[in-house]
Amino acid sequence: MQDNRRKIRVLVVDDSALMRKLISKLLERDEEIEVIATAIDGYFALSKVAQLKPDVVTLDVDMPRMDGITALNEMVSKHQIPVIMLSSLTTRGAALTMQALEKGAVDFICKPKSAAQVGEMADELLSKVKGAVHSNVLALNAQSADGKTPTRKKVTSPPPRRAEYKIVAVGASSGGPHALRYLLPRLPADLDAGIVIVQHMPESFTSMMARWLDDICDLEVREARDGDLAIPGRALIAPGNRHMKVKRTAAGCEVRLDDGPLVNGHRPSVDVLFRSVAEQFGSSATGLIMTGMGSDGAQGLGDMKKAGGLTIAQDKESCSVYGMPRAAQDRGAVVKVLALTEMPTYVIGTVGRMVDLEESYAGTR
Amino acid sequence: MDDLSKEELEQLLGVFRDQSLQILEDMDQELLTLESGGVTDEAMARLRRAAHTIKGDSACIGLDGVTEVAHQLEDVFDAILNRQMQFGSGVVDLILDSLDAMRAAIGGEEVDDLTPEIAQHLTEGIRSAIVAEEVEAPLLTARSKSSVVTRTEDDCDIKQQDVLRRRDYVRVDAAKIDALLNLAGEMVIARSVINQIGPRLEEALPKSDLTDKFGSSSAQMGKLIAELQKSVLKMRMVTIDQVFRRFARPMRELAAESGKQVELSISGSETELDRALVDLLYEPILHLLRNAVDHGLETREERLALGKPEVGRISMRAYHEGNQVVVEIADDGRGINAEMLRQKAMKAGQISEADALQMPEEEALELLFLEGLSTAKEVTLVSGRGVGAAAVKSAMEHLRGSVAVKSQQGVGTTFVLRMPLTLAIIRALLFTANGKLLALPLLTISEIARAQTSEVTLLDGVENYRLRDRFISIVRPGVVLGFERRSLSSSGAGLRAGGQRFFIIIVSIGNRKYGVVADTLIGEQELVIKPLDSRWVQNEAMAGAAVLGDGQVVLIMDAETLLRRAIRYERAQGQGRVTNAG
Repeated sequence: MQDNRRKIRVLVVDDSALMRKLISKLLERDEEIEVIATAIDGYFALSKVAQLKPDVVTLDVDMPRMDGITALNEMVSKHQIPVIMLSSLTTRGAALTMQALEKGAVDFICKPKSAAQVGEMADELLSKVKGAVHSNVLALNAQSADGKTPTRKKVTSPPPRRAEYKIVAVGASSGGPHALRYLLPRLPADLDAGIVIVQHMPESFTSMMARWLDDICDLEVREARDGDLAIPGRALIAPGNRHMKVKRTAAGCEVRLDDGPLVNGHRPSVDVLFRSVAEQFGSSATGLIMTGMGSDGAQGLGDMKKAGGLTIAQDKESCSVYGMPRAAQDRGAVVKVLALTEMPTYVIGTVGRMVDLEESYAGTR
Repeated sequence: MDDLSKEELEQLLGVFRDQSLQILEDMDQELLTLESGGVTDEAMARLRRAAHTIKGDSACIGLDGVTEVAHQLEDVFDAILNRQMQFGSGVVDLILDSLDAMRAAIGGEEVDDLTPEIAQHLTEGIRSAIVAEEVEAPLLTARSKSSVVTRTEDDCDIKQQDVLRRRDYVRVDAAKIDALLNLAGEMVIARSVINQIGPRLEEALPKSDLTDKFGSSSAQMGKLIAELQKSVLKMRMVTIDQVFRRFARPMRELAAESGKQVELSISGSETELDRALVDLLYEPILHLLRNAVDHGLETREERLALGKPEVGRISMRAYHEGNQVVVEIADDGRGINAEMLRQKAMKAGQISEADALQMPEEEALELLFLEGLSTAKEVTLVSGRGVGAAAVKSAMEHLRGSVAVKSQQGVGTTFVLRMPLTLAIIRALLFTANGKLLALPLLTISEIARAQTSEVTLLDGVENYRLRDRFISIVRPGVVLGFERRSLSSSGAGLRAGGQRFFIIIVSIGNRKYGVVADTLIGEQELVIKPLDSRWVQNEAMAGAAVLGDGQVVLIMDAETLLRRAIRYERAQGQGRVTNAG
């Protein structure tokens, strides 16, 4: 951490004077961070970015005149500065945020919905700003703009009647949307496992993210509903504010949603999902713990390993925040450590493809 | 995570209070304006954003009641924007009540939350209004607080009092007013036909009671129709105050941002203009104000060193001039360095070195509006100035208006925005070119010249006409609109062979001039512009079309586009590259 001697220089952009003040205050309580300027809208932000070259920008997604997205575009493409979006907890905010992530924003934070959440936001803000400094903006941008279009052949095959169902369970938090946006489009529709995902995100955001991923994936990606089947070719994302568990039934791998208490401060919690996967699927499960703050999922991943499952953690270099994978490693819950770029091939190699898919298709035609 | 210190909280509360009161005031104004005028999406979106900001801010402060009410308001505006709900008097009253309640809570001795009872009462009221999707009443009474002077019985004791003045409004769909305006326009056209018949009638018939009566009653009708048209136009008019007043908050923030002291003075805010212009004018003016604060005004230290007053002055002034609305935005800052602009334009390859040397100061200032020049990277005096200048220009062109700049180094800069009073009617010059009936907005025409083919010269492949001491490029409408196939040079030759005489309409835009070739001139007339359906007509050189009294269709050309299409850069007389085509 030698390079952290110099303070992280942050530009705060928000159209509300109160928010500018509040965010600056929260950031400046950390000794490693210095707020070098604030701006009331995109125009000002751009000229200040050009002038001051901040290390990180926090940007309100929804502003009058030049909005956040337009400003973001230029910050990312011209100046390669890591940008963290500040979003409101609304559908509109969620849509704009997804758009921003696609355009190369490093991460996002939701504005507090009550005074009680201010402290919570402060923690998130600090760790995300610190995480953002080291993120590779160009890579994010290239990653989202690599122009891969899905083949648009969604598998709507009936669940294969087999004794052994395989499942891939994924847990992610900060930086997760980008990581998922890298991983999921690279998994084939005939991957021999259903996929279940917990990404820490508020309510309106998860459905927006599912749609956002679905558009670029060969897999079918959607927000999970209670009773949905995680069949091969499908990835189910736990909806914000609900826990997701899996259950092995006659029909296949069924997901169950519930409103149980927060676990590790989260709902959905990765631990809740992973524990149920360990219990229900044992050695036919693969667990992926990806970028994110905190330690949610570490314990569950340990359970999966004990039950004979294959457990994988994202490596430090490719994580935007190396928290959850580290916690899992510290607990000895990890079988294999992989860079994000290695994950798709490795998962396909270990889980396998549904070899009989084409045959069965040929049979039905 | 420990909470904010008491001191920090105090400070935040102060910011919150100031900002929120200002926003509430803006919302109040916006609502009252909406009540008297029509509802626009832009205004609704502004209201939604305002409510959104209050919601977010009050949540952070911990004012749950205010948060909840602001949230409901945001939903209402959202519902109206999404056409799920009508903007009716019932809702307006609820909204105004909510704003009042929030103002009372926030603006008291200490910032306070709404009591749970009041918050609940208001949110429930609004929520049920959204659900009920109520139908608006045709006649409503607007609340308008104003201070009036009342006289008591004995006529000597005069006191001021705040009363609730009741004004009657009839809410009318804006489209209905536009239809009326169209009809009035048609009548203007019909009248012009009668006007033409008048003299011919007098020639054909012996003077009698009948012809006299016809003459006087047609004159009378003409007057009435003109009145009618004016009245209808007035219905669409609002005062420019509606634009000006929106700058109070941004200006304060801009000044705070830049750390400069600014005094904004506004005059002529009662000037009336087309309602459609209000929203279109906001952005360009904001651009200019922003640039004035950011780059026009010097820092406090610089000003003091120069012996200027510490506080920078920016003034906004509106007035009518002929058929135009003029808005001037002036600052008393450092002015624009024309020499630097020249250099920049030269470096950017926009003009040649020779041009740069020849270019008079006023033209050099116009370089500010060139697209490529304004996006220069480093934030210097000139490039910073240029941010958005090109955008302002194109926005003004979109309004059929113009922007010009005057500046004196060390003294200040003035931007002058001009736009037509109304977007619905233009005074135009009718003419024919290649037998086609065309029109150009009269405002853009500076003079008309009679020309002979021998007076047309080819410079760098562009046809030029010598107007007194300078050459100006000329445009053939037929070529631009695509019904004249011949290329420029061969058509020049054709004209020469014919040796005809024709007209050149001199159009001036900003500081530049060019000529439009016409066969015959018909005269000037007021035209009601009908937009051209872009699905059928894809020629941006046309601004619209109009129907004349006799049913003929006239195409109205866009003077700006013509200029861009046909002109490289006009050259002063006597330069080496001039080759006489004759």
